[in-house]
Amino acid sequence: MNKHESLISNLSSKLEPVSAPPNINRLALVWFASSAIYVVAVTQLFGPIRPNAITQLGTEPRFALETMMGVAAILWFSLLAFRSAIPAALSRQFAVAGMVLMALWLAQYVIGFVSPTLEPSSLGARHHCYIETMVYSLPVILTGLFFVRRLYPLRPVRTAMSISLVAGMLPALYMQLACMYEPAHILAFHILPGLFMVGVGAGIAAWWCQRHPEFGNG
Amino acid sequence: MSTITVKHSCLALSCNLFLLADVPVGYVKHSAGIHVLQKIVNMAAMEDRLEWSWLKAKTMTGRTTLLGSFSIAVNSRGSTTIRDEPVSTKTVEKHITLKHESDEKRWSKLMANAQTGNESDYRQLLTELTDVIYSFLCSRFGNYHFTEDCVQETLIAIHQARHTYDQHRPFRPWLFAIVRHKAIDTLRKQTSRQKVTRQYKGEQEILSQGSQQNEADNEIIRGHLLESLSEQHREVLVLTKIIGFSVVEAAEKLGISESLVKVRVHRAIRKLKKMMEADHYEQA
Repeated sequence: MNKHESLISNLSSKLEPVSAPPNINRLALVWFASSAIYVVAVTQLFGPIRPNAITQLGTEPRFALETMMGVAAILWFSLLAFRSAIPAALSRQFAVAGMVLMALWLAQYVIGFVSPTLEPSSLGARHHCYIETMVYSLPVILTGLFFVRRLYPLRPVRTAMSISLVAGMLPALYMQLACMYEPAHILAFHILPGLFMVGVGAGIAAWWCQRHPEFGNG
Repeated sequence: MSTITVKHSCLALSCNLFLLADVPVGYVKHSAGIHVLQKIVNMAAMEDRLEWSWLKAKTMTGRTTLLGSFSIAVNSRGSTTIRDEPVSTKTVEKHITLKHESDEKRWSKLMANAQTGNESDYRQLLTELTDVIYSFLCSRFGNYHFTEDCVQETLIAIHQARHTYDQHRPFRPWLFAIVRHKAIDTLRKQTSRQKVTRQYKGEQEILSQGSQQNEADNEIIRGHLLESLSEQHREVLVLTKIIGFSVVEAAEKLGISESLVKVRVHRAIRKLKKMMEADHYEQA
């Protein structure tokens, strides 16, 4: 046990005080809200949203439900991502519920092939919506990882993937209002680029972990 | 000469001890047994609290089901004796619950103080946790060299993660999330290193488990998680990750291809990880 005693002695000598742990849910909500505001602002900045999109939210209940489900799924995943950065803060039930919610939301677009929520139309089409989705999500990923790096994710790559999923899905969801509504287009040019960013986030996290082994918990 | 009989529960596969005779301490075969027994005796001698010595032993072994119990007494000549003393399971469970609750509160307080920079509280916390972590790992993986490495890795991880502990949340889940993760992580990162076969009576004895060794010996050396693995997975994991053979050496010894060794190691670790995640005992 001498090895342990020596290690304990080293760890406890000149012990630096650490700041109180942040309220993880509040941190996640702040990140989600600021990211959502940023995505809306930057999307508006580079082009107008579909002319009748806001009206449709009021007149088409299924469209409103689909959008709300998207917001709920992304919000839930924000909480999930940040909770996963603290040991034992994320329960299995919470994680499963988040995944189910996300799957249900995305399933709406697949169902849309058979029974579209709105009449498919090219009204409001943005020519580079897929690039916009990816580019807009990148700062969101980086800010999320910035916050998380101060915590202690036991599986940093998995945490980064959750953060990147939120970051990718936020612009993808807003494109539902800003770009044309057509299920195939949404899946191929909004959702798919958003999912692609999950890989980008995982890559950034893996690279970071290699450079900072103390952060790489596996 | 008197002897202590240390026997393992065959089903529980943990370090539950049956002490079957009133005897002086000092004649125990196994390193695991010696470790646990010496602690019990030291505590009893120091604290002179005989009635709950079984509970201390119980906590160190990390199991909830105490199948036998004993008390420790120090006689006038200074030698320690151990007696059988049956107790009801209900009493054991009650004491363990109380012990867990008091540990929980104390650790939470110590960690809160450590977060403000209190060195002595932090040292006390880490010292207490060392025993708990060691017992937890021993009961699941056995008393291998790997266990020692893992305890150290976990202590370092606790140090790095101390700022994430919120004293409004329970301490045990936070602690054991780190312990479980580090156990698998350490096991995965174990590569060909200094062989420790001499500690375990040589590779041949390990390979021919059960047939050549005393059955009780095997039970004490291994933890119940390793025992839960299939023989194929267990032997390949013990050879490569615990004893320290390279994939090539393990393949030669087992008479299988290198790729099959890698596949089995990968699957064994994945299975262990699942079992660790499902192991909620310490969170209770």
